[in-house]
Amino acid sequence: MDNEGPKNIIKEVSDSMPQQPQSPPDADALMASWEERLKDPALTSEEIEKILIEIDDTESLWSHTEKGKEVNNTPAVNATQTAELEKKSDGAADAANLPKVGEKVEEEDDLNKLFSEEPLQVTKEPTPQSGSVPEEDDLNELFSDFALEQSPEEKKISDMFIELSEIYGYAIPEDVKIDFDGCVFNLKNCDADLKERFTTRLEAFVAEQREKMEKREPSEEIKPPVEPEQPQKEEREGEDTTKERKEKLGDVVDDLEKATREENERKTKLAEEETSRRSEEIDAEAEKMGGVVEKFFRWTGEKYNKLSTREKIGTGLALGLGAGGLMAVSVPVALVFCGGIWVQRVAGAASTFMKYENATLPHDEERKDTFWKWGAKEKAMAKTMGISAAATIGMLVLAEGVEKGVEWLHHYWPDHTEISADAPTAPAQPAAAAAAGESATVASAPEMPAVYAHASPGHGYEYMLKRLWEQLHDNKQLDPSKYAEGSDIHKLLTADAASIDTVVHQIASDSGHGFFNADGTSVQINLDDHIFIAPDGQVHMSHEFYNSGPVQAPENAPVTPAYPPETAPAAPEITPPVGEAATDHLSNKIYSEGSNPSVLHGSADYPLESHTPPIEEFQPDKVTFSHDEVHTRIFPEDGNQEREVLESIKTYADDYTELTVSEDGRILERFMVDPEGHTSRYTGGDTFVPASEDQTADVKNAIEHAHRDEISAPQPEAPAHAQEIIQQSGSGEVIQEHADGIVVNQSGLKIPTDKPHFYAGADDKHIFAYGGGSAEEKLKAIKEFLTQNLDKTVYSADANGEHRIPWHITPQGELVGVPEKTGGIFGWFKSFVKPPEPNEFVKLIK
Amino acid sequence: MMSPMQDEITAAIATDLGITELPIDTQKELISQFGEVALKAATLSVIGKLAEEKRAEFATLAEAGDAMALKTFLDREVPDHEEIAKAAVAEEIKRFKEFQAEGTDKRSNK
Repeated sequence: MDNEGPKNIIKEVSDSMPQQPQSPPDADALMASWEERLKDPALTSEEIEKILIEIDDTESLWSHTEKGKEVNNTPAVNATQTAELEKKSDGAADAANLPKVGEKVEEEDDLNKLFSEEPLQVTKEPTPQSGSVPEEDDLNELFSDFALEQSPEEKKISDMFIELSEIYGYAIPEDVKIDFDGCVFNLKNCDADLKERFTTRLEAFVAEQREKMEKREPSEEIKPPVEPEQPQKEEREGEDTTKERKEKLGDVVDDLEKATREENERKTKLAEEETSRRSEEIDAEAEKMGGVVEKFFRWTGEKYNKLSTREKIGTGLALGLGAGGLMAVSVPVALVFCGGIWVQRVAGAASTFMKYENATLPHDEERKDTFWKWGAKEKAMAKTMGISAAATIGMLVLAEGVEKGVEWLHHYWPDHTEISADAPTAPAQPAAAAAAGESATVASAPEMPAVYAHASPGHGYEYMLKRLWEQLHDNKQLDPSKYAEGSDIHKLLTADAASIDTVVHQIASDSGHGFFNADGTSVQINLDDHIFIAPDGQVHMSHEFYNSGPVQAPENAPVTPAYPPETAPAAPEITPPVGEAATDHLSNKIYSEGSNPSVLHGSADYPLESHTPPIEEFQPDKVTFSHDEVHTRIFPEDGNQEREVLESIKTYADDYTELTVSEDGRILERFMVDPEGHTSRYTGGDTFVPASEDQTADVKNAIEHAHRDEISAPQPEAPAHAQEIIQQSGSGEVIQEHADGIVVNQSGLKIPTDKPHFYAGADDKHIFAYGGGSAEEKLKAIKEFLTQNLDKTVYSADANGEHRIPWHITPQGELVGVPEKTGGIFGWFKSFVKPPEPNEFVKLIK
Repeated sequence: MMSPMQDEITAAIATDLGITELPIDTQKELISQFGEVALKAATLSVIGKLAEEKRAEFATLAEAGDAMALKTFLDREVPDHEEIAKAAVAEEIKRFKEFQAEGTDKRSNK
């Protein structure tokens, strides 16, 4: 076979290929150069990395060069085509084929031009296609690693490749991976914009090629090759083959990788040693301070070590790491991270932020841009949380699911934008203007001081406003003249001790604030709420559930009835909300029945100026009369080793009880029980939902257990009867135990303790066995009872008096029973049910 | 597993510390370790400015985990606590980077 013709043709093609390197690199020289450079012991990691990149780049070039070389030696047409060419006389075949191939090359040029604005690089070596003509080879190379995706957009691109295949007359592989705009075009990693641009350009290219094809004569079409021809290798004597060169290069790369790895290990070890040494050094400094500081640092270290890597990074972020030293630092937030109880606070604060942001963000695009740039958003968030904006970002981003924070960070983090304390914010504006829906004008305005007043039992708006006033006046740097007249901050700053009562009343009753409504109702204040000075200079109230509108109190917030001054409550009043919105609200909040321990009467200190506030000054010891902590073992359902949690029970003076379950300082669960025994579970923010039956039982048990063991409430006075003993029952109720062994429970039922007796519970379904000298004696009585009542179950204490056993009789007459367990809280919190106690008994059965 | 955004944060902190050439897992580990140093240094610098009788109150608030209360307390007792903490953290970063550079120099001079 005469290869001359095809070779000539291929030569033409090769010369026409714009992607072919003009002069192949001297592999040996490069090898020698790299080896020499790598011998330098002073090479830094960065320099090694550069060499590696250089090698990679050159290897790619090499590959391409070799490809071109193979092409030069590869017959471009198959045997059939060759035969057809040979049939042509006087070299007409060459002449006939040259323009044809030239056209083909032109098409390839077009393909290259398609991506010419951005360098087109094949990211992986192509798989040789059997029977390829050179043009096809190059296209295959282009498309060979495309990871075909099935999304609509990717399908569209794939279809266009098929169209290209039709144009070129042979199948283009459907799996292509190319570099485009610096993105490896496997589509998964490309953003929508990049895909869109690629698709647009590809569409134009396909259309252009199709147009060309339509204009082309049918005889000019290149028929697909039928059989492949093996490439011929042209190797020079005494020189390394391509394979050998690659092997050498591989060795160099391996050595480099090893050197890099070792260097990294060395640097890591040194850094670890340094941080450890420095940490000990700081600990030693803390020890010198002694006492509280030393203890606190030990606590800090222990807590920090228990954090996850994500939380540790969050701690660092809160301390300003990662922002080039530009961001503010928040030790308080870092310590909160350290304490590990930040998640709920972040969730609540983020919710508040979003509502606040909605209220203050300008709606037209132009002003919105300005708003973003000027950092009002950051400041709004920071103020909402009362901490530095940098720390806020960290907390938001690192708290899973706080999408807003992530979006926010997308805007700001890449440039390490400083959240400057001097960033302008929305100026103060009168409440009336705000109420009219006017967006805050973004202009230079003074920094608003971070002052907050949290809700507390028994207090309303005026009390909270007074706390703001105190904090504002604690800061001697604040100059009232810097704030807009008529703004709340101006009013508070200019008020003195004589006028503050009037001022806070005016602010609280200002209809623009929305705290009080015309019908006399007032927006309720929840325990988790707080008021603060917003960037507009007005007092705002946080409320997790309702969109903050232009008024300071959230719109549609539940309200409490109008305050009747004549019948002022003598204690913090728990009032059910009124109105439809309030009903909807409470269905998702604490106590759907309307008894809400965390909802305070909004008007508790509302009475007009002439009235004396009916509530005494807040006294913590009047709110909480006991606070018990009990360590409890839990039994994970997954069979893992049992763990110990801390149950913290706070009992409030209004008979509401709060149970917090924590482990290693992390709050796992929080429940609130109202005086009627309704139990609600805290789900974040200020949200409580009704607890399940099992949870209710668990909470009841936990509270009873705590009260029985560690009750710290003042004991009632002993009765006059000297022989009576007062004891606290598990439910906290007082029962009397007489010297003759008779116990009188809260229902007045007399319960003998010397012999086993049977009692019915409040629901008539439970039968209890209680009393008796020994376990055998009690079991004997139970068996006797159940033999006569085969379908019944009797509950009694186990032999140790620790657990509750439900006993029943089998058909074979055997008495069986296993300790009863609770259903568990969120799947893993299980505990044994406590044994029956006298206050559960309603009547004597036997 | 961290989200891409959290990886971005990691990368930003790694840049600050000059450890970007290390594998990502190593970066996270070092950031975690350095975070403790930064936290302690910042805290110590702030506590150092507190009157002795106020230190117990600070510890109590910190252990209670109420950032706002702690912030309010520090704003009152150490008005420039953020600047103090920032300086302490910056000093630790500088110290860490210098140490890294020394380690590299020593190797280069071998």
